[in-house]
Amino acid sequence: MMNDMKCLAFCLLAIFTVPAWTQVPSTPMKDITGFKERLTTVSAGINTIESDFTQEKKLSILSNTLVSKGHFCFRRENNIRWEYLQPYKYLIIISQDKIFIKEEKDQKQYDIQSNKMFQEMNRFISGCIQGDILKNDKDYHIGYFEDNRHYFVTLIPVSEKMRQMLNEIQIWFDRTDLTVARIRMMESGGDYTKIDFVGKKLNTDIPVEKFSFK
Amino acid sequence: MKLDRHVNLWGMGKYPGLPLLMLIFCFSGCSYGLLKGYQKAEQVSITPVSWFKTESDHLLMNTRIDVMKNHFSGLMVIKPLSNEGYRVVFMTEVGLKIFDMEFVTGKPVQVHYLMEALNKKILVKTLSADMKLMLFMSQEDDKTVVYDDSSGFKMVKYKHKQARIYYKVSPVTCKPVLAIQASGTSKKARVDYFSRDGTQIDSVNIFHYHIKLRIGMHRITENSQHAVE
Repeated sequence: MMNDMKCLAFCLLAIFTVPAWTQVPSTPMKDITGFKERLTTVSAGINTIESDFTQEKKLSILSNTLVSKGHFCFRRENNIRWEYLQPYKYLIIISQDKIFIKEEKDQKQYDIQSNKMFQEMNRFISGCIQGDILKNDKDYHIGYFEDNRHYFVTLIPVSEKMRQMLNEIQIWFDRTDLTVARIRMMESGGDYTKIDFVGKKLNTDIPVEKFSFK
Repeated sequence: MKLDRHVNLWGMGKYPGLPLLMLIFCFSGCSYGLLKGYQKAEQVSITPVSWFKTESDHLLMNTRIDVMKNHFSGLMVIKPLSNEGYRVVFMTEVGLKIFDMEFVTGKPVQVHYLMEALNKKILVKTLSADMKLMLFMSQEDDKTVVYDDSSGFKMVKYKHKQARIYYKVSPVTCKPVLAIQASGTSKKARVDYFSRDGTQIDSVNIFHYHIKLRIGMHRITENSQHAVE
């Protein structure tokens, strides 16, 4: 009996000590219009974002998640720099209509227009960061939720083709500054990619050279 | 006059060596000569051991695919399955899946997911053949012949209908250093395997003789963590 009580107490403790961060906010957002207006205002005042990130890839065939870490920079307009530092070094710079990829031994430059995948990827990533993606209710069914730490938005692609690639995109916005705290891209079958942005710095001076292809 | 034009076209006048060079160029993908320096081995019971049959749960490879004018780069997860098959997932660095395929000996390739940009029958067929060649997925009814070379390496030849596959294997580890897929008189594709310690794969290069398709992979040592959610 004592053992059962201990077991029950442990289970309850385990359930209630799961951080709110790992739970998906399910309370419908009270003031969607207010949120969107604030997001537009805040986004317009952000010229640069700098942040570390942790990316987790969950594949149903693997027992572990694949974790990579790096540094992210954004500079208005359309300058994005993803620098993967662990477990391998890899750099992607998307600037205007060009994409630059640097691996350990090789580097290449592409025209975004020449590659549909890069085009979509760029539109999607910059849309998430700048909040523009929420204006796109033609391509997505958008759901709005909140909890005491985050505004939480779900985007379900309207197009069947897009749904084959990603069946839901989830974005967590920090309540304090309305910046993106987490993006989770859900695939059919339960696989997903989750990117957490930590230690964000807004409107710091990020030199334009960070986005040049050298 | 006609003769002169013909001669000029072939460069016999100015460049007497040109026809020979063109002939060499035309037959650079020819499979003749693959077994030059090899002799049929007396011992025929050698089976190459795949680099990807590993004790770890999976292998993670930093991968680059250049096909025609398209470039795809990202991570390839190669997971050995309990049924002697493999699941191969290729995705971009930011996690978007490019393809997800399952290979089991004796069964057709199962495509779990394929990005629309790659969804062309010929491309799927070629990519699957490349993966099978790299992973070492021979058919059960393949006819096998083993050859020896003077340096001690063995060449194992598998024949299946018109197709021939050659694996040059180390006599010590039985792991391949080279794989060649040939059909008729021509070489189609080759796989070069690189390993520093001879036990674990470090990198793989896949090259096609007749189409613009190259695949390069480097193994990543990862610090994987258990899922939180």
